[in-house]
Amino acid sequence: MESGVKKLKKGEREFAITAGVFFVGLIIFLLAGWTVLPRLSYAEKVQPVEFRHAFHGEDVGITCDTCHFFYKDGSWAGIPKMEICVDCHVYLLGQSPEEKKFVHEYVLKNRHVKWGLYFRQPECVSFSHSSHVRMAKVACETCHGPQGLSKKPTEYRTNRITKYSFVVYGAEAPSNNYGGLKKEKSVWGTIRMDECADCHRSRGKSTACFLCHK
Amino acid sequence: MKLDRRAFVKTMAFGGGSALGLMLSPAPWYLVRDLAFWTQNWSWAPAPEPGESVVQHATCRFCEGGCGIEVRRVDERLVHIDGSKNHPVNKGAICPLATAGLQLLYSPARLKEPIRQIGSRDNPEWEPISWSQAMAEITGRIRELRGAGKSHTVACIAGNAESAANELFERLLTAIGSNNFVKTPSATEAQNLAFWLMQGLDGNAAWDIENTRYVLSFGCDLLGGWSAPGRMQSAFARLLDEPEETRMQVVQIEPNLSVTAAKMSRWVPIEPGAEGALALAIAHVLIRDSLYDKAFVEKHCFGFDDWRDGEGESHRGFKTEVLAGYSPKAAELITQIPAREIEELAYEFARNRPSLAIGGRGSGDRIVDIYELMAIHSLNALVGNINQRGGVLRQSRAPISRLPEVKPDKKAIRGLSAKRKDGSFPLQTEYGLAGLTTDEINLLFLHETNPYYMLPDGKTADAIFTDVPFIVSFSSYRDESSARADLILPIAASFERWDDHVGVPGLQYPVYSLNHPLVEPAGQARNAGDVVIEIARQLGGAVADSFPWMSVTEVIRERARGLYKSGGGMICGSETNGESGQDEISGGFSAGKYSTFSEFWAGLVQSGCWFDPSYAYGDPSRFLLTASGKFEFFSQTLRRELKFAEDILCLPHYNPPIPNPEGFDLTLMPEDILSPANREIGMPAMLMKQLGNDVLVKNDLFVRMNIATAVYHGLRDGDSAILESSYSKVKVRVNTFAGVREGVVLVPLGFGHTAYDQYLQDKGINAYRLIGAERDPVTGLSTWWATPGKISRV
Ligand code: SF4
Repeated sequence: MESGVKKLKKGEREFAITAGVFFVGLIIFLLAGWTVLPRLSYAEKVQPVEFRHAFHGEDVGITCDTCHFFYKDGSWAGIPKMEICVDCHVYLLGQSPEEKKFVHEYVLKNRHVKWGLYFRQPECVSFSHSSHVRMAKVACETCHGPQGLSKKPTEYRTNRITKYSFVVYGAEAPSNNYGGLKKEKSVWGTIRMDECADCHRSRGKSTACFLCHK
Repeated sequence: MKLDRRAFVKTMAFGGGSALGLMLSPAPWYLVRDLAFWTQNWSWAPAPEPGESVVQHATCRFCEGGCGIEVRRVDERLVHIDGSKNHPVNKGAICPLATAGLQLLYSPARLKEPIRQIGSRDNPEWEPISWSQAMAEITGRIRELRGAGKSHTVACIAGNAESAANELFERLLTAIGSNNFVKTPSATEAQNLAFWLMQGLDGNAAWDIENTRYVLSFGCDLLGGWSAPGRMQSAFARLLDEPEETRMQVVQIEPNLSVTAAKMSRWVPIEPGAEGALALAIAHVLIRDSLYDKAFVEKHCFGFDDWRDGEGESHRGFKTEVLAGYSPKAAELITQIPAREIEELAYEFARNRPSLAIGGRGSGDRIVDIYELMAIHSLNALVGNINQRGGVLRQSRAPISRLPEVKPDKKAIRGLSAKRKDGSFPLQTEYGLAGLTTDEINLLFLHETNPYYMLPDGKTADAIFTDVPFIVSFSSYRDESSARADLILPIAASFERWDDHVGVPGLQYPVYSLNHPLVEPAGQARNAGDVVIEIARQLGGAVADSFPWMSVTEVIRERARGLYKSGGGMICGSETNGESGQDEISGGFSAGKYSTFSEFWAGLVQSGCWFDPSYAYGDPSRFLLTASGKFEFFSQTLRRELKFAEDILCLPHYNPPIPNPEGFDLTLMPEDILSPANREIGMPAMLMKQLGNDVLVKNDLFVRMNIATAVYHGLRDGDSAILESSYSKVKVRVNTFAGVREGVVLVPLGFGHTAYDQYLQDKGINAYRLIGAERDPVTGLSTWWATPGKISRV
């Protein structure tokens, strides 16, 4: 009888251990899935030169369209080319070590800075700044966030698989942020198709395929 | 380690737990998402590099149509061609060839360095050489021939552009002592000849399509390449905006239901080759029912009524001829168009003025004989539309400066006194390739032309490449003719070079187009004009003296100076407004506003086009320069030049076709798929890929025929068949289409290339070589529009 109970207890114990093992696996991977893996799938990057938007805008007082402008044909200049920077930075203008680095390493050596981009769209998308900014009057911040106010040199993260990137302003990005699936206020990056579509819908605009995929 | 049952169960439990844990976290779902995004960002998928984008104005030079284009460049690469909305010629329209044209610029068939033939023409082998070696080879040969008193055996065949580069080639030949500068046949030659015979005008005919109300088109491929394709497309596109009641009516008279026939107001299917008879039957009704413009005919026409010459001999007039031989009933038998319909066409043509009759099948050069075009042009005189709004006009020439005269030296003068080698007929206004006596040519330059592929006169094409001992091809591509040359010099393609062009076919007002390099030339390619100047300079002496320029840019600048001096016209600008018809184009920058030539030149380079939209409609007598000073229904030029004794040979008339030889029961006719891509330039890869599978499948070309024709020959859709003409025998496949007339087989043009790149090579057969050409006994023109054929199942 006793041995019967024992036997039963042994079975229970086995079950308990098995269940324990099951839950250990579950908890480890659940946590990993929420914390470690997101970090692993993104590479942290810094810009080659510590450029500060807020300094140029607020302190120096130049307007956004000095560097980010439309060409005559309506196409968007995007990230300014070196020639635009060199218009001012032919020589050192201040004391900042980063400016020194910029002038010595790039301007004087006639090298281009390979700026990291967090808003590049894939080739299958035809996006026109002109129709969004000039015609629909969408503000830059709607898609790019407080980019122009960033005081910190912007670190950004690039998805190792997709190469889509996001940038974090203000508070540290939550560790479970996967590139802003639901973007927090502080996280900005490549706009995904669902976001494009949401915005189009909320403004009552068409979401026909050929609008973007020509 | 031995895995017992318990351990196994635990491992499974751990695995299951982990999997569930993972599934409850976002990680796997994001992984799936990321993999999907990853597919959109493959680094190896071809995509233009991002960069600064600039749009520049240029003129399309893929054909002579003169369309204004806007070319977008991203950094150093051209990425897009669009029509230029403000351009007076095409007003934004462009053809598919130009849309895909950048593929030609970056085509693998582009030549990047000079190469020399070291094998034989049948078994070619090439070795690269330097430009200086190539120049030494050419100048050495010219010197040798000049030394031996054989400068007249140098010849040049050039594309038919009216460009500075072509002018320099002609000049080089003159300076060394040869008058054998020949242009490849153009679609306007025959038209201009009819114009000359009846109006005595040595120049280009023009048609005021935009202002006419009713057009009788005798087989002209108005939407596919007749005259200037871009202009036609934009004219017809704008038609659709007009209310139907006032819209121009176009009657397409054509044996088969072509795209043009399907889109026009009315399609009149006609027996192939009977267009001349129909035109004369319409003339019959106009005269019989007094519907014609009597005032014009009485005042400005000759040979309408019977007439007597100086010796008192009486001659037959147009009226007698037409009333006697071309009643609608009689014409019905020839044309297979009901007499009632012929009457109807005549009445419509007379009542909807200004009306216009135009001829020349396909892109304009396919005629039965010159009398067909004369018959069609007679209709224009009968409605008195000569030099009237909506009628037949004459193209004014752009006032470019003439280059200083060549001063030939003694050797050159001797060479220039020799007879031309292209056996031109006295009537030809321009010398033609037909009848070129190739065995007397020792050195031949080919400039941007591909005669081996595109001459319907296959005998001449073959003879060039068997008889001429040394051929130098100036070409941007490895085309069929270059492949048979001895030396190929890579020349900068359009968009890579300075280049100009005068006039637009069929357009009444003068246009001058200028292109400047938008990108660097591919490899070692050079501007052909610069090469010619260098050849002349290396030859030294009097030859060099005739070339006082350092580059073709200077020559172009000099030519353009005349435009500035004329003080008229305007430079195409952002305000040019071509909306309301050709004569009302305004805006642009009037040339008079520039105070210096440099300013004018800078504006011209930027816009790429000068034009003068003013046209003096009205008095027809300005353009009636025949011996009688009138429009000649009875061509005294023919009578005088060719000594025709029979009246009928000087009057428009219909020549019944020669019956097919025994065993040939079909009529093979060429069909344009995209006519600007039919000639020197092959189709870009993108267009080849867009051809339907009823045109080309792998390497098999489909010919189109009526289902009845197919059934009669035991053929079904998709069958392979052997198609034969007296010129060649080829393998094709069958596509049946009810819009093709019974007994007719349509063979698409533009295929069967043996050179170029893998996208063009060996795709289908070359219809030029199948249809073949004959020489018109009256004019010496190469005529080709149909040929007897037969077909059999494989
Ligand atoms: S019609 Fe001729 S000129 Fe016009 S776009 Fe086409 S190829 Fe160019």
